[in-house]
Amino acid sequence: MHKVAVLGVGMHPFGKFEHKHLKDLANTAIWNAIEDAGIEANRIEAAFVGNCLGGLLVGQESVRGQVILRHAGFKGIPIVNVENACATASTAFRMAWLSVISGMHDVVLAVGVEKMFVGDTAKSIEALSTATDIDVCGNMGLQFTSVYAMNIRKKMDKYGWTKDDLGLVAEKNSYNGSLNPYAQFKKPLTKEEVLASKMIADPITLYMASPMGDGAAAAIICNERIARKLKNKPFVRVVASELSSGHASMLESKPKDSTTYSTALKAYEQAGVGPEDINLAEVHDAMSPAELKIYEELGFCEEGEAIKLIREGRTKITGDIPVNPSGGLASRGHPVGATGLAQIAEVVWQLRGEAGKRQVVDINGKLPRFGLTQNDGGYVEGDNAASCIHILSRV
Amino acid sequence: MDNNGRLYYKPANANEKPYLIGSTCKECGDTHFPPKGACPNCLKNNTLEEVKIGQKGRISSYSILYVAPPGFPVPHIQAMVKLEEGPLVFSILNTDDVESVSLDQPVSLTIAPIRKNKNGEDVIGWMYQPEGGGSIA
Repeated sequence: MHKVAVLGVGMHPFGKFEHKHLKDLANTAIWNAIEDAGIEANRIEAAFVGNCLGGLLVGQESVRGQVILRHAGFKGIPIVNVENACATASTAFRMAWLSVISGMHDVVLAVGVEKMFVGDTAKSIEALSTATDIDVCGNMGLQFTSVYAMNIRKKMDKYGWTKDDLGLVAEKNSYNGSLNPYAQFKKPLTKEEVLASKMIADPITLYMASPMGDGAAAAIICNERIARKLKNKPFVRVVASELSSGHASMLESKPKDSTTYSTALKAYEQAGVGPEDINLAEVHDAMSPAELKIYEELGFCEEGEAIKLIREGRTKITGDIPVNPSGGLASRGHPVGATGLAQIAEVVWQLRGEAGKRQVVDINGKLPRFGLTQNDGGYVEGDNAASCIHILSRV
Repeated sequence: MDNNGRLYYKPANANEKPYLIGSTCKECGDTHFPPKGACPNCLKNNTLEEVKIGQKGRISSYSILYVAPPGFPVPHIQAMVKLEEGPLVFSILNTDDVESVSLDQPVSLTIAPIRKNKNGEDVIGWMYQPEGGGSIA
């Protein structure tokens, strides 16, 4: 097996960019990643292009990847279109990884892009609801705010989570987002402001929810042989990539029976590490309090102990297991098909010591060595449709 | 596509009861909604038969939505209902009494208009109703 390095990452900031097309958003992220990688663009042998809603929202149902990459200057190379709901970009990254680890390609591009502000909010909300089995969920009215709200209500009842705990997660992540130049929201919020904001899907308030957004993120990955020759920056190795479809019940399974847990276990095994070795994590908090459940499902604590982590500040940037230093989905923003690669970009910057004011270091001032990304997508048969986990390591 | 007869049965007269159309496995007894093409438990072909399910269940969890897509009343209550036969089914609750809904509350099936489409016409589907009453005004 070959070893795979992340040579460069890049983003287009997340936010509302009414006059930018999918092509413009992606172009910025792609060329930022190429410049960060420090290679000639003509060495890119293949591309995996993630986009989730462009068919419904901009009408480009087919060949979005080829359209986007032709705009960015690429022709001739194989281009694969990837869609896996909110886990689209991490899936594109994984497909790129597979093509390098297999020895098929040496240098490959993965990009995720989404354009959700199209001048018709109802259309965007309706498009999101198609990330379910629409026959029995989307067409019946199910909203993702509600999926998360139902889950969180159940956990509040079972484990004694309070509204204050929900507010604390949003407070932490909004502070982190305020330090991130790529974030959609840069205003730190207090727990009180979060809880006093508009109730949208009880117990979820507006400031706990990820917004609609436009944005893009990209990564250039390569065979480690090539990274070693370039040596212009410390390189980051992909030590685990795992993808599952749901097999459990989001509402009724215990943390260790969840799809996230089984996916994480495989990732830990692949990387040869355990949850105690992870120095930071970027996780899928489409509604910020969902982070609590994910702490338990990634093995960062035992069942029922997630609230201890948030109450004791252990998942803050300054804590011993920082989670979502980027601000997470609710603060950085969640242009759905770009999120997974934004998580990966954040972890790469953190491992290289380039995360500025939100840089994670340990109590001795050392940079993190292992970072994990967890990206969920869609809702089928009462569980995540896709669960994608990566572990990256500074070499 | 008309889902009456495919996913649910809408009573034709007052003597009949509504039900959901599920599948059950002749080998392992696993029961599913929506009905499957093969048993996800056994992963074998041709072990399933159609069953009438879903008349009663309990609320596994719920949320009161204050922001809803066009065509739905605001607020309204969305729930995951654990059917007596096992499956978890998404449903809007047929009540606007947001104070009286609770986890584990018994509910029963009704087939009713769940929203209006773009032309203002009723879209029919399943709804669960807290036992002892309720309906959306």
